Amino acid sequence: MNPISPANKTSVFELKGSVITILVLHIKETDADSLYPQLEKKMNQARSFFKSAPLLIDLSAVDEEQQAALDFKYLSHKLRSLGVVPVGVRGSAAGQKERVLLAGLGLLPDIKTERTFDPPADPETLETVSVKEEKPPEPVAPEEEKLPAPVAEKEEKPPEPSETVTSQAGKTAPTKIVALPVRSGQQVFAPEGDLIILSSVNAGAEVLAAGNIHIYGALRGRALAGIHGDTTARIFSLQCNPELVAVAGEYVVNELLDERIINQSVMVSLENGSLKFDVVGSFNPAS
Amino acid sequence: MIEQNLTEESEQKSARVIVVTSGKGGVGKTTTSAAFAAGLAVRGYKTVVIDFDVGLRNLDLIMGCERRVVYDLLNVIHGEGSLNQALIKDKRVSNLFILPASQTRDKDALSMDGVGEVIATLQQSFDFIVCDSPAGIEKGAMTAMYFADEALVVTNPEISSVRDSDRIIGMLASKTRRAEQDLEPVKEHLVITRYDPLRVDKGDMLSADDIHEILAIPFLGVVPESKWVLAASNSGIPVTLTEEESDAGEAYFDMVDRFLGQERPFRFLDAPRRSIFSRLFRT
Repeated sequence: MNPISPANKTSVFELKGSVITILVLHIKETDADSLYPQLEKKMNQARSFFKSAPLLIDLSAVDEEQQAALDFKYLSHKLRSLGVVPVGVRGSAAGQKERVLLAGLGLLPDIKTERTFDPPADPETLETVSVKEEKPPEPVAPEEEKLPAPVAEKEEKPPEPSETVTSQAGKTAPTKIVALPVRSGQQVFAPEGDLIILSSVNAGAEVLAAGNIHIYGALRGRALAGIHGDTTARIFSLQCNPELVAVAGEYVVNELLDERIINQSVMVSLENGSLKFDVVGSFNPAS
Repeated sequence: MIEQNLTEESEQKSARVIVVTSGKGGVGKTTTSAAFAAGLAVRGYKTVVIDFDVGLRNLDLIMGCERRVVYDLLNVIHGEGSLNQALIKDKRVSNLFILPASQTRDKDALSMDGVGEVIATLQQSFDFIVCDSPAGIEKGAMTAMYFADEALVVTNPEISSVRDSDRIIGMLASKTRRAEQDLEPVKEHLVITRYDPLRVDKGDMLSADDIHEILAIPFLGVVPESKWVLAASNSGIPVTLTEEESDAGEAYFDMVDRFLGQERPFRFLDAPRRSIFSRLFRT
């Protein structure tokens, strides 16, 4: 059920796929005269934030003709001089792939399919360049509004005693439900939506979700919500004593936790760039 | 040949396979294996206890049969000796047998298929097969747990032991035959050894309740920290077979009886009250 690494032949490395949050540069116009100055201005506003960050160039918004006008080598060089590290290009036209590779950049598959439930792009943005943290297909706001929806949906379903249930709640991303304790060495991952654990997350275990994480038990391991950068994601646990909690990459380790929240029922959210812990009650498992 | 036997004798008894496991070393797996197997045998069940700790075998010492080992588990797997030659009959309890591990071989020689055949053969003539797992999560431990129907998860009241047990419980649910073949999951039982209620009261040790809450598997019982365990080990007697009655031996018999489905009050959980005064003040 979980990727407990098999004790296979001693290998000196492991090759694994991983889901990470990455900065994406969505290029809307390739005209060098407006692109580079704007880029420079934007990047210089937050030099330290962008410093050494890997960056993905998204060309889905520009047509092939415009792409052809883009000098990938120069763009790559320019971005590096601004402190970021371009790693690849997404949404490049078929005819441009060769040039992308020649510029030392990787090719990533088009994200079109994943973006189907993207809200219509706000039309008022006239900026040619927008740099933003890549989010999971941006259902952030709509998801927040109908937070109770998946819960209601769940109640209608017959009680599922099994370990994992994925429910398709209309437009929202599927919620993953785990009924058993998550034990040391195990990892549970909800790559798209919320994660609900109906038991405890023990020390040495790790739970990750693109959305919120609800733990109806003790959280003693690691919990990482909003792993694709959803800053509105939250973590709820009945008894909070985690090794580490993180929302959208912002994390706190156990040692730095306020003692007053330890073993309380706690909600963790991201506020002004740092984690906020709210005690929402206390829970005594013995009662 | 083994397969033929299987089909011919499928009407015969089919032993329950019990793995004694913990993850962490030194918590009392071998002591528990020996005491539990002997306890089952005393209660009238034909029991064999198998040592899976290839290269670090100890079970024969604790069972007091180290000078009678001729063939071992690996000899049987590799066809160098028959199962009957390798099985050592206990001198004290007539229906208790030991299958020792190899001390000289490499643990990689322990093949899953070979062990499967040995267990399938033993299942035809025994009621219980107790597998004494080595520490760790390497091949020996994985092989020991793979064929299990039930598991005794041995834990000390100490956080590192609890965490390792947690990991092992996760593996019981994913890396065993029952998990892979989608059968009813391995039935786990929590055994807490070296328990000292006085130190629990002082806050030096985790309480049985805490451990039970973290591991969330059915609780079989505690074995108190006891001088009898070391004394019995050193004289090669399972703690359930000592001449005098011992606290640890009684604790193991309680667990054996609970395991066999009988009600037994939980003992050794509370510190003995020191005086009439403390009794007055406590309640």
